Amino acid sequence: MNASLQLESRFSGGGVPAWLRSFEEDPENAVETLLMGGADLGHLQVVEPVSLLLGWLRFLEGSDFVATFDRVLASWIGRRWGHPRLPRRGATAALTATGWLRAMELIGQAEELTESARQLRSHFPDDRPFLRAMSEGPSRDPEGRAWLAVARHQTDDSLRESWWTLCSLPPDVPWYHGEYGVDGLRHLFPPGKKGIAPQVAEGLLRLADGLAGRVEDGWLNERDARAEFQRLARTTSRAYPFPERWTAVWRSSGQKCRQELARSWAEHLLPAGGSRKPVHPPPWLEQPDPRWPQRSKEIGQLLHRGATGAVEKAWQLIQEQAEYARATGDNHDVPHTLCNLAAKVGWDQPELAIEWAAMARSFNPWDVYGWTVGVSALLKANKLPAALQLAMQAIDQFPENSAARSVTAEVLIRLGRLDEAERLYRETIARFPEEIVPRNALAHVMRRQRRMSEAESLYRETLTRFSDRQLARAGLGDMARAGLADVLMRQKKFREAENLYGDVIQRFPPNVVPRCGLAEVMRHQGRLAEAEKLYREIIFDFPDELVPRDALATVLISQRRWQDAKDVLLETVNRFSSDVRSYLALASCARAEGRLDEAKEWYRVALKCEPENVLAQRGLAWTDKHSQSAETSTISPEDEQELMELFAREGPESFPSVIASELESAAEPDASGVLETLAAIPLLPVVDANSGLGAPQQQRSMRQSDIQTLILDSHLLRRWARPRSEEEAGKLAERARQLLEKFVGIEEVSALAASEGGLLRLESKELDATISLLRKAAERFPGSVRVRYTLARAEREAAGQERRSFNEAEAKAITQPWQGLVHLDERLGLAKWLGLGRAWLALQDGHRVQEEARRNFVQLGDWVSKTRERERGGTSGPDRSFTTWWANQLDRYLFGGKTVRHAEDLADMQPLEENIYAHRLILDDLEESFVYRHSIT
Amino acid sequence: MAHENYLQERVFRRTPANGLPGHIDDQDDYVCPETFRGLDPNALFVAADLGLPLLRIEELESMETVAGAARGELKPMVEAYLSSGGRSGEPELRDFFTRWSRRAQIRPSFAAFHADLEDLFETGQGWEDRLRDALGLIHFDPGQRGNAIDVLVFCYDVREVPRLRRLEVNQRPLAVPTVLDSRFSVAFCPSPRDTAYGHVVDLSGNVSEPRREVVHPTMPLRPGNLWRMGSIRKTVDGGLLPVARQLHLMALRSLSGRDDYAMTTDTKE
Repeated sequence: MNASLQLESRFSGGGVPAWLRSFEEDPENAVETLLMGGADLGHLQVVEPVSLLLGWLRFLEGSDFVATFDRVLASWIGRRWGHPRLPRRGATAALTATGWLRAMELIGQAEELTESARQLRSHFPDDRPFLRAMSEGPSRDPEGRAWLAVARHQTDDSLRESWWTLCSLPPDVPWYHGEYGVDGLRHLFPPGKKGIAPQVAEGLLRLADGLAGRVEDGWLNERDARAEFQRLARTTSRAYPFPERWTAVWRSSGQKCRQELARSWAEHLLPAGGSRKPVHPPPWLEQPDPRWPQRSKEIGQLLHRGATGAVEKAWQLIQEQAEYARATGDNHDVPHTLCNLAAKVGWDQPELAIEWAAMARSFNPWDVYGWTVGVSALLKANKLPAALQLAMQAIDQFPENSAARSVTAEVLIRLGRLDEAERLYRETIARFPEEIVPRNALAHVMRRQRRMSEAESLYRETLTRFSDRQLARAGLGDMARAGLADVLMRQKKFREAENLYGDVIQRFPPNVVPRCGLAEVMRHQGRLAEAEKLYREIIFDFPDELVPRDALATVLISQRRWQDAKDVLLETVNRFSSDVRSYLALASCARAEGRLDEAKEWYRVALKCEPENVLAQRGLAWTDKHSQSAETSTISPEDEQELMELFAREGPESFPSVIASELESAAEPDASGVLETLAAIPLLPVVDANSGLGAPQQQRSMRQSDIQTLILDSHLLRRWARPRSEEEAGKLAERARQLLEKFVGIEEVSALAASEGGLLRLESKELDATISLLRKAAERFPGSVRVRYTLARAEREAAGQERRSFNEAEAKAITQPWQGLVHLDERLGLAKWLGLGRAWLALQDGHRVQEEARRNFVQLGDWVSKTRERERGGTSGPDRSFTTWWANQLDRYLFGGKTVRHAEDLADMQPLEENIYAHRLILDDLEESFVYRHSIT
Repeated sequence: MAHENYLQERVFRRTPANGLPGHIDDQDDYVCPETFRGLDPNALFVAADLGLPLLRIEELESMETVAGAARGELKPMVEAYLSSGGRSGEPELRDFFTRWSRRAQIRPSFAAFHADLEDLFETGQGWEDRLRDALGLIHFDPGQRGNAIDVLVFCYDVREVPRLRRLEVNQRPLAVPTVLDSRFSVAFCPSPRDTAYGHVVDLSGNVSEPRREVVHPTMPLRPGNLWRMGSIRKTVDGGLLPVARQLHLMALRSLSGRDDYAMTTDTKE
């Protein structure tokens, strides 16, 4: 009992309220009971517990009650964080969510609850999914309330990036959370003598862009979006009452906002009668430096050349742009610069490139460039497992982007998994039939496999399939022609290869690739002097290109002109100081000349660049041995062969090529070989799965990122694995079983794991057990979009597999989970139409089955048509690439290219049903992509 | 706890992202409180005249909490609006109510008929305490809450109550309150099953005929609905409650013609 609360003296008139008595006796129990709504409050029972507590906190100010309550609430947060259901008799998920909602409201409203706020901040927003999984729209939104709470208790600016993120409304943030971004900035930068805090003004402009982007993407009604922005603008400008300055802010929206709609909303806030002409932003609003793009380009060139001081200049530029981004929330420039510089520095300093790419992703995780450059950097650093992991995440995050797939295939190539790379390219070509790049890459794989005639025919098909305009884009056609010429050359069809290279050179003289190719043809024909002359011309014209230098060295080495070769190689390493191949070649040339000490030095330099390099290790051992025996030696035939192979190595940068393929045969995703890759990734240690209520402790023992990794493994296993043999199927089943073992226990506390585990179980066809588990998970995580989706899909699978007949109960079972998705996020209406339409068709018999399916598909078809029209009209929504891709995929795989806008368009459902059956895996994939894009839990 | 769970899972429903709706699909239990899902379209007040004014009382601080506004933010807005007769402060209030409307849940909201309460406001000061007593709002007890309780009174026509999909255009979901529609209140006495509306227990015990009350889904508010603001200061006299309830039940028996109605409800064993 806590006697120091002195309640008697405070409540002298009406007596001490029952709950305060119980708080004195057992504060932990009293707080939890009150938060959950189970406390005995006497005749105050009707009062919302938050109102009651706020009143008491104020009334009992100065007593120990406030501090005690704060301590107990903080302890409650610490103990209960991570429990989707409070471990208490009668505690349901609804009561748990209500309890958290109340706790967040209290902290947000009571500035005296500082310890509780600190405890909350230690979990949030790092572990946002915990509260999101119990949030169901703005009126039952513990996550939103947590944002408010941490905003009002800020003691430093560590949340600044979070506020910018909320304002800019990336796809995984509900639009009504944008307001919390502005609120966070307002509390971080309260009104002062200087007028409007620029960050607050910037926050509003970012939010205008965010909301306008949602409208452009078709996710939000323009009227609602405009009303939301203008309401927040009015509310904020009342808090910072400097009308002239606000006028300057709204007038500068022309430069500060990217979306036209956002500008028009801001202009409507200008006072009537005043000038509406856009002006430059006032000096107190920071501006991007217009020279940044040019500087980025120039510094990139310096980095590419390895120029002294380039890295320092790069950091200087990055720092300037990062400061601007931190001050304004305008993250547009800095990720681009970081990616550009990372791409340029990658060859020489891959670790720096990795760091910069990671920074780019942290500034804007929704820009695929940061991911693809990051993978390339990891490849250059030879960190292949990490590269594969990041590449897979990129595919998951950007299903609409073929580059994410291509870069993954590159990793697979580096891992020597050419079959898997080929399957991934084929899938990519099937999903992105208008893309030429994956065809180039696939051709490259085939060339690596010495399948020259296949490569040749695929090249030729690509060159005839695409129009001149398509082929002219970014030189893709010339790459294909150069690739074809290379294949022809390798088949000793020198005349045709030479003609083709000549053709490409004529079209695009400054292109280094065909000129190198032509020189290569000459070399293969033994026209070494001509080849040498041409290479030297190319090097003169393109001093920063490595390929012609390698090739020239090859020509010289093949003539045993060691000193000439060394001169070229020395020039190369002067420009490309980390080019290990050139150091090895220098060492070999020195050996050929009998200069073993010099050779040793070159091997050592090579090992400094790449300590694990086997050739350098072997070479150094050889030179050590032979110098100890005081022998002199010239290069052995084996070494000479090795030296030639060193330069014969092909890289995608050197000779990109293109192969067309039998696309229709690749229509289904087929990458079972990825199983091997997944199997190679070490699984994370997971604690004992059978510890019941210890579940949150389990979660803590596995970092959030580890859970994500595990889920990603499973996710990609499901999406790509299409066993083509019993052996492969067996491997898949075993792998799935292993993964499910890891999920047990984690599913109790992680909605993501529950969803992924459910999908994995669906593959095993144990539908009854799966549905039972998912129903429990849906109760446990009422705000989890992914769990709800998985349940909806499982119900559909079960209805189809068991060939259930239509009746009202069945109809309700399959339709309700899809309806629930839309309640959580209106954008999911599209996934609902697709999923529910398919669900209706899973039922047998009944006129209504067809009618309901048709109704859903017509709505979906109408959206597809409108989206494709909008794309042709040039919309500028930030999520455009995804939505357009999704619409195009549906157009192709669901509607078979047929425009569907009215019920009459689907009078005959047979073709659509056939499409659904033929492309069911792709349609599953599309549903998942859509759901995952818009949810974090 | 079981009743609280029932309320959270069945009665207090989620509001769509753009705020409290003007139309509610009563087939959708995600948004429609159970109270209104089986509402009889022939119930008396469902067809109440759309111009009939209703009164509803809200705790000011509770509205701030729901809206996510800072403590003390709402009161000056309301003062400015009411003291100017609605000529100033309207935009600020409208923005506040928009914010509140998005975060409020769709619940059964208790309301009374303006006509039944008119007399309370005729005698000037102290109307807040009289209104509290007349509506049986025993939880508005400054003695136990520790402070005077600021309240807002809203007045609106029946037509402003959200419509239910199943009902006709000129019908509104005005239902008889039951014990299940809210947290338990010691001052709540259900009316006989076949009555058209509920009746509130007057905490003062001074009224001869119980005042009528109904519940309807939480509605979006606008500044024009705001009628009064005041502070409840008088402590509830708990000792009067048994008497008030007895008088209330006697009146109900008389009104319903059921002499045995709730005869054992307040009888101590």
